[in-house]
Amino acid sequence: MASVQYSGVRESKPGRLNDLGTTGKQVEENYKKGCLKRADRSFAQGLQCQQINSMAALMSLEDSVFISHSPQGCVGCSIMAVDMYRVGQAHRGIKNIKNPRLIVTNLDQKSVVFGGETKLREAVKRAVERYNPKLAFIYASCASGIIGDDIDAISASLQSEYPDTLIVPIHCEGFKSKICASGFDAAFISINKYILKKQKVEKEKGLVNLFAPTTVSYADQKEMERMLSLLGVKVNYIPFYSSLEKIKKIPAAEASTSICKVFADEFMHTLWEDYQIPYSHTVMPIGIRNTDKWYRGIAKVLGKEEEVEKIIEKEHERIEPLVKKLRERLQGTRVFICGGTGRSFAAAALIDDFGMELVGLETPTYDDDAQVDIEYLNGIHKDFVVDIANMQPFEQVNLVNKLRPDAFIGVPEWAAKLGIPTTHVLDGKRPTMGYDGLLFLGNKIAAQLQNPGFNKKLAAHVKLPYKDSWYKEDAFKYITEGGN
Amino acid sequence: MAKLLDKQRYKCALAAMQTVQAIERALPVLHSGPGCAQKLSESTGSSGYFSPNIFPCTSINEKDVVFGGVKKLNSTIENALKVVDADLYVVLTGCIPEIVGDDTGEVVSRFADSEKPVIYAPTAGFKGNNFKGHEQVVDAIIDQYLKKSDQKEKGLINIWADVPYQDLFWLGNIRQLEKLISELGLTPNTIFGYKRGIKNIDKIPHAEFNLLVSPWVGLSNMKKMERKLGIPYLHYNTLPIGATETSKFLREVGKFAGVDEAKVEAVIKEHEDYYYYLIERYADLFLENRVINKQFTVVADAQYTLGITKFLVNDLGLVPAKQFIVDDTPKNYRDQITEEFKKLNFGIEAEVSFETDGYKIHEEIKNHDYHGYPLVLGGYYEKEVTENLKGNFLNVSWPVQDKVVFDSFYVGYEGGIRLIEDIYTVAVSRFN
Repeated sequence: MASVQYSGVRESKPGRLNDLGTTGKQVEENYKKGCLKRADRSFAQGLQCQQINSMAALMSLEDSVFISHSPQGCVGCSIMAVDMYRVGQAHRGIKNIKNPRLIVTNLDQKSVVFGGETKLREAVKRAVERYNPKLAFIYASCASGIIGDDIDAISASLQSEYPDTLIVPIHCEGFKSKICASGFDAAFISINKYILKKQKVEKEKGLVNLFAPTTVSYADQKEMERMLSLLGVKVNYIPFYSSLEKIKKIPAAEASTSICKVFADEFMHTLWEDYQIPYSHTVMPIGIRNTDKWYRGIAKVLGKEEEVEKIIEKEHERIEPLVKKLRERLQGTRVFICGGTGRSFAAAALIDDFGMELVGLETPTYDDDAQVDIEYLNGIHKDFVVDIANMQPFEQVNLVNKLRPDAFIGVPEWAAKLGIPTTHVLDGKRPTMGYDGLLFLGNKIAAQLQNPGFNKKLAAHVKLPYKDSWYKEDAFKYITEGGN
Repeated sequence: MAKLLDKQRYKCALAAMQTVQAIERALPVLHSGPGCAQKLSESTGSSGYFSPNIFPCTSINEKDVVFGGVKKLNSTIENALKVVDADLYVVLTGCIPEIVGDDTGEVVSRFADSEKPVIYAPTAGFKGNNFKGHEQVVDAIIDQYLKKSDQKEKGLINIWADVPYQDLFWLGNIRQLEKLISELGLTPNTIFGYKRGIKNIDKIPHAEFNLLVSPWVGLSNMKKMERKLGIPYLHYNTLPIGATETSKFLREVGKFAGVDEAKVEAVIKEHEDYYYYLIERYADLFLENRVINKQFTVVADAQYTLGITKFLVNDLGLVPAKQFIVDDTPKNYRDQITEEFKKLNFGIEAEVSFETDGYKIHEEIKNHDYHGYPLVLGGYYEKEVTENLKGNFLNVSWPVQDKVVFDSFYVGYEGGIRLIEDIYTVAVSRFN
């Protein structure tokens, strides 16, 4: 058992940083020396709220109701989740496509003064009456957190009133973390506390937990399952498109692994501590090198090192001639990458498969894990700029404008307005991962870069919303030391 | 007490950032938790000059909750003025600063002498929805930016309609309203969309009157402008869709503005002639009555539920089943809106329900006998229930996932035709 319970707030880990402007070489060295300090920004643009991640992680669970204990805006973007869920059902061949059941308690001025307990009770009552779900998730918000609603105590009391619905409160108040991946951790902490409860279950031979976030397409799920089945294991794919039954099976597994670096990584560690399930935490399986690394990682945990080498050899035989063709199209392209923790580093490794060169990397956090990736990247790329930032398009365009890369990988709209050809490695509806995904992704990237016409025309007609003087400034001007 | 929302139809007051976004070169500056802008943005049509990821934000953290976020707000505004190229900076507050008691107004007042105007609207999510937030932003412009003027420009009319972005067709609709008003020989002035912006905000005090085309949204702004700026207003409560309502609209505006009656009638005749030229060509589609059923339901904001109901009944000869208004219309406006649903042609009356609970709406739709496949015009949530009933579904109100709209519109004669095209495109592409 861990001596200190992990709070679910990613910043609580020593050595983890959110705000830094540096280069690949510098950051590697300074991190080793322990010289990196926490900082903040005296000017910043919006981030992503961790509550979105807590919701997105679970929104496709069968027979569930999702209750946002918040004012009416906190689920303002829920239509994106509704769309993902509906498309996911269509891909999985479901005929009567359903909406997720999403209820907002609608905290108002009275709740701010008197507390929101009545509203939460009412919401759970309605949820049970209407949908009789197996699971009801209650999501905390900034407002519910600040006014001090004790959602754990209220949930406990509601649980005795409604014994047939498992009530799971989740502490994902937005203001608690600037790292939206904290929201994943908050969800898993509650799954362990309220569903698994450290109960030992009978082990199932050959069962592997495969944790997947919402952004993984069904095509990617199938590819991951195909690869794992070659190792002779059975996959428990969770929590995306799964169910209470599958969640309850988590402790029965022989091993765990995750598709995303910042999804369930903390949880897999908890599963080791609480249920002695070994796990593999490596990289996102995007690109040959990363797919190999991911594959070897889980094979090692399962004691199948020899088998995996044979499979990898065969897969390489099949895939390498095709990748070579892509390399011919992409070789030498100078790239700037911006993405979430898992995707940004995966993309940086991917471009090496295609002989592309990294000139800049923007990623939300720096920590032990990032250090491992940076050491690897420093070995293959010349020195590149590193911006530890969650989006912050103003810094990004300042850097991209100075570096003038041949291609940009990530959220495309700002680089595109500078006329830079853009592409991405995040597609929740189409393949990106594993050996098969790589070809689809590579062809997509090559096609997008082959015709930058749209971006060029766009850049010729629109202007980014910053003053000309900003582009002459140091991109990291507003990063101030001594933040929190 | 605000009711719980199952399948919600609007966002919180802070989503008024979209009202600001609709004003060219006006920048929302958010004093809120991290991620509020992203949560309140749309999934398409959000990458304009200013977009939600561009908006400066204080991203309040745990420490600010305890010690207040005033310092952070000050540096955010100060640096936004240096980095971002805008003409108007509008500070909007979210839940946290209003609960912990940050004096945002005081911080904003420190920028009274800055090169570009900085104003402030309280838009905490727990205080109301984005309809209220929209009104708060317009109020902030009236109270903190505009000054009363005695210089009136003859024929200049400010036009106000429903909430940008919440209304999928906001841009196209307001352009159509401008066009119709121009045809009467008047000069329209609007503040939203391409090349309107601050220049047109400055013209507001010089208008002869304000024209509000909405069942209720913005009425409080009109009253404020009457009081503070001395601008009278005409409240036209039905969004005019199709010939019947648009002709009525032109006559009433013409009368209020003192436009020569013959001129108004000439404009109407020209439009109606073309409108019925089109309708005649496709009359078989309506008359043979095999493509869609007679009964329909609208689930939308007050403006579309009322406007579309009137259009489908009065122009197309359909029959209203129960209609739903999902915008949480304030109680004091409800009776008057309900009355409008009783003023349909041939003594037809439509039952209307002000309901924000999507579950109840779906139960009612399921339990109603439409005498065949229903036609449902609503938010994306209605797709599921309509599909289960094998009916025809058109996504006209928020949330939207089924439609991409650049500057299309349902207002006016032409807008009515567009709506018919959309409805029948859905119907003919299915097998029922």
